[in-house]
Amino acid sequence: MDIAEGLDKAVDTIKLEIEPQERARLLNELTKLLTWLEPLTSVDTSGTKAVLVGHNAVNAWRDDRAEAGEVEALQEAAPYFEERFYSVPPIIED
Amino acid sequence: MDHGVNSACDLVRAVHGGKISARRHIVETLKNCEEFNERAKLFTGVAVAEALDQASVVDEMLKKGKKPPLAGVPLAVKDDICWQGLPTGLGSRAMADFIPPYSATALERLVDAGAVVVGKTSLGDMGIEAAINLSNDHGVAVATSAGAATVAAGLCSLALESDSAGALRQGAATLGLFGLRPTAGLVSRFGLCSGVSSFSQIGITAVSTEDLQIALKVIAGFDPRDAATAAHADRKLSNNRRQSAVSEDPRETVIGYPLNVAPLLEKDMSEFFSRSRHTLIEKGFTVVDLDLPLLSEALRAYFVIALAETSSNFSRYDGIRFGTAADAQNLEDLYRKTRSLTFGAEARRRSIFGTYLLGKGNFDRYYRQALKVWSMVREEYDALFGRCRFLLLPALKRQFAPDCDEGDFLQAYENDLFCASVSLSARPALVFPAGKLNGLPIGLQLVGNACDEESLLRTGAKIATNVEYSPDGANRGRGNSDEL
Repeated sequence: MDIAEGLDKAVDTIKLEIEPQERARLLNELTKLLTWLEPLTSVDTSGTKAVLVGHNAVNAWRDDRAEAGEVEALQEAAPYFEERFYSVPPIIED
Repeated sequence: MDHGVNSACDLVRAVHGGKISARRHIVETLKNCEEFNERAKLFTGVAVAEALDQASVVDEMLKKGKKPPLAGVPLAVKDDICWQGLPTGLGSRAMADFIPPYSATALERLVDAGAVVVGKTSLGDMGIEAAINLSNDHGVAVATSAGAATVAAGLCSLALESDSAGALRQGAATLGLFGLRPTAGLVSRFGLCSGVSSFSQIGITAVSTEDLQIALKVIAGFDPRDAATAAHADRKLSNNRRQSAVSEDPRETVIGYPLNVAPLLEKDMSEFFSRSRHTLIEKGFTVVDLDLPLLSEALRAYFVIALAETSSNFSRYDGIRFGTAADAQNLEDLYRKTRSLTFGAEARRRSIFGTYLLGKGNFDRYYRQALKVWSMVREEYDALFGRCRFLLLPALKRQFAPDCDEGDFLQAYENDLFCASVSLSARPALVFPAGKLNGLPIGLQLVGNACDEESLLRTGAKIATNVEYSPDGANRGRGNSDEL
């Protein structure tokens, strides 16, 4: 896929409207960006593991179980609740 | 020690001692903020009623014999940090009229400690464009951070700000202030509207390291609402005494000076930074010369990850949950029209380029490669810190952030060269006033070990050049001109 095709696909993926003039500018800038990134792609990273988390965080686990009374409180607070389901109004009308 | 007209610790002493009430000080502060805001739009809004209420609560606490550590301290809050009930707009139409139903943990802790939120400070679109450019006519120099400008102008004693590629640090450096980006995970990011999840931190800008120290002790620590803080849950700042010990003898403080940095700077900054090495030696510190060979690659890795994360994070701005929604016939139409209407130039650029870099064929070449380089940068920092206690770096490549017009985006990215690299390292960084350059204040950056903020602040205070603040907001160096 060439850069222009990739740009159009990205624009479509994120659902953005762009005018032809903006597209031309972005194409030029994307080409510049990729050139600017070349030194990064040529770093020898063989044997290096990718960072998966930004810090040495440790997950603070809790039991995967609702606290007593939590479920009932949520059900009572919900405007519409039937059997096991919470009903929500449609966001977009057809 | 007198730190100037808007020192938080001096003010707290006065309020604790009954010399001034929190409310009286805040009334005066609000008046100044409103007047100043007519000339320079530092605040998106001055929170008069809320600030007066908070100040009254502080006075009530004092009457009951309590002494909150930040009693009556006026606080500016960047408009990407949520405060329940106050609009949080991110400088964008995509978040217009959003009023958060909760507050950021760091901000909540500051208010519980007696600080008073006087307003939310302006930022560029989505917090990713240059925030403000102020001329000297407004009493402060060019700034990238409105929060720093409120401190430099004497309006607020503390500014709570976010920092990813260096916005907080560069704002402080430009205005001759102290700015602290804490260790990653030390301060909760709950309530921060972050575009770059891996690198955004909440930090503080102030006129002294003492002020930073008080505020940091308040905001640091475990927050069950931010899992990233779990790493430091059992490591409260002051408990780490062995690491925090700093010798009074500067010769025992080893500061790393990267020799490959000066050639990367613009001429006057380069000369300034080179002189700083000699000044450190003259002040008695032990300076070791070393290299940061991956500096440029770190910047590129930062931006690949930042663009990718931004494109993902911005997908939430669809007009349904936040901000302005365009008139549309169906869901697809709503997304397209809303985003086209609300995203500014840099938000569009980052969303598109980030999505491109994550696409098939590009993911491994750019994104995965950036994650690996990130790992190498961390190892590089770890190795360097085996030879020194602190590392000296500039905060800016050139003295001022460039006017970021649409053709200049790479130049703007390049200006983050020294801050982005530190962000990747996850280490804390203190910007301190280092003197004046071309007649304007300039700061440098001191990087430390994780959770070693106390010694970082103490050492930063020792090597900083004093900057005098006047009530009209103009700041003038009183140390040796053009020197660290």
